[in-house]
Amino acid sequence: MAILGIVLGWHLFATFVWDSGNVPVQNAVGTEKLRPYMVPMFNQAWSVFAPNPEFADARVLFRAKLKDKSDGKETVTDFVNISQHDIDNAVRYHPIPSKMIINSFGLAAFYANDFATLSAEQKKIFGKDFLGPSWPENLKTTLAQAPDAKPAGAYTGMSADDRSLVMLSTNIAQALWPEKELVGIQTQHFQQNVPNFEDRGTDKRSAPSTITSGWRSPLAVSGIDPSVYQDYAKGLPR
Amino acid sequence: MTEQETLNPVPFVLGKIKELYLRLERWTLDAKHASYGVSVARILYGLFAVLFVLTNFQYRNIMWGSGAQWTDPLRWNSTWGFPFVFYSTADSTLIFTLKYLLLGLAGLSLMVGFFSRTSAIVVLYLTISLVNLNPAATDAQDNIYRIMLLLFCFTDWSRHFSVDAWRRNRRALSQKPGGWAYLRDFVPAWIPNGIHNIALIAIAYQLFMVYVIAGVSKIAGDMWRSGTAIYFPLASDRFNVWPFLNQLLYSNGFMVGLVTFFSVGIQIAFPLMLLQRWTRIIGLLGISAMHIMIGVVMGLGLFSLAMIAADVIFIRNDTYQWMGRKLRAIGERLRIRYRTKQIKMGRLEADPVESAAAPAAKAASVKPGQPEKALHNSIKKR
Repeated sequence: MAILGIVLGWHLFATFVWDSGNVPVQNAVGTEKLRPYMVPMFNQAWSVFAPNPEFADARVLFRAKLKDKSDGKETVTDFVNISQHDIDNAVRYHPIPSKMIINSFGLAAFYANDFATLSAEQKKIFGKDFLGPSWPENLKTTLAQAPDAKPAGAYTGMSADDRSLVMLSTNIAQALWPEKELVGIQTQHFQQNVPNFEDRGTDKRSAPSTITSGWRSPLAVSGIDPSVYQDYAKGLPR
Repeated sequence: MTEQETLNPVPFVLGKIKELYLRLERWTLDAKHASYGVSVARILYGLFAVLFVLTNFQYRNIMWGSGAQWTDPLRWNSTWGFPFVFYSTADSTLIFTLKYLLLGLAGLSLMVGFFSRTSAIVVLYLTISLVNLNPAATDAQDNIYRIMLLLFCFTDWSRHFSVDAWRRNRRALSQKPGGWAYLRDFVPAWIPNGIHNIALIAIAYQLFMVYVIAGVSKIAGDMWRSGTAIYFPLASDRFNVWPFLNQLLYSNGFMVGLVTFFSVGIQIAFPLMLLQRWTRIIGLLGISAMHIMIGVVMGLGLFSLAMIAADVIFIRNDTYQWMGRKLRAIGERLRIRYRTKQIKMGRLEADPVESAAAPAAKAASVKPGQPEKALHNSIKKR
């Protein structure tokens, strides 16, 4: 009984301190001491829709630079809205939407949050072109060398998000334009608030904000099953 | 209290503490509580895994499988690793699909209660391995499912409505012990009872933490205080599953305010409402209504299911038994009504043996009183 009581007491105490937010008891105990017990199995945060719910629609998009294989002429496509495609195909009118409901929204959140942690110079660097097979490493190194560079965690996340979105975009672009050579990818984050409560049901929205990367060389995955993205890209504008 | 006790209250207080401790010890060690509740929870958590597999099947390869290499960079700061590496973005489409379907199969096994605890551990392992491959697609739903499934693994959730229970009963009737039955004779009953009940307390506490933290943290938000908060997720694309329904809800300002305040109120009050029978019923209905609403309107169906599946432990065994009797009576009534109709239409012949035996069988299967009378009346009317 005593052993069960001690185990239970410890679990209840650790969960309370971990979940309780910035209160004196959490500061006194220190969450770092609880980390080995709580993370990863009991890791949790329940401040959902708090203190205020999200009030913006976010999107991730990309556009591609394509080269005609016959005459070598380069063209730039319109932006492809990945998030809108996911909403239309996996969210709207689905009684139990798939995890796609958060897939591109999660990526959009990473992209915007990690961009916000960059310094002013790092933001400018992000908007420049990085080409060649080792561009992800070059981008990360250049971000680290910015005169006002912040600690590594601040730009490592952004480098990872950019690389991830370029990889996803490359897969989609290859499925959309298989007859063309893909030479560049440019990604974008788009965000716009929903109408104010007083304007609900109307189209009155504040001006959107965008974050646009420079051009990147595509990151193709060798041996990928082409049917996976051919199925996904159905319905996307070509 | 005697005069001596009034002068020295220490023995009295110590006596009360000892009495409280003994009550707590008896509650913890003497019998497993909420056995019907945890059994229903098992069915719902198994159903969760099955629905998860079905609803994500179309996009499985893009999110976790043979087309998900784009998620590899996102795991740079992941806290998960070995042994949760069953799935890999390096798997071929076929291999990944087979592994993915294994999760659905384990979920089905958990749902019907076939090797319940083993199935639960397999579902837990596979779910963790799968969802953490893609950090962009993880959310609170994964957290609550993982934590609850882990805690429920320590409960005896195969006692009712399960293949395991059916097999145990069959073995008991045939007096042939099998499986772990030999081992069970050597383990005193208070150990499994204690583990089951301690896990129940941890599950209840986890629910309280979810509701109270979610409720209290909202009070700090001006949108919640002004009664408009619920409009914003309803109007955003991510939670706009049925645009006409969402618009219908948020076009009425009174409704927006009502739902906003109700959501905060019920979450904060829920643990206290469980203390008394009638408030408990209201609390459970209220919290279920909130979950059903966010499940249907905001597309958070699986999250709602994971929460409701844990909430069912607060329904008493007596209530489940009462519901079982009611359902059996309804089933019997429908069966008799169907047979009577078939006989009248000449599709079935009345069986004299069965007709003679029917009243006795009915009397044995339903509670004495109205249900039996109702059955006769339903036949007479036809």
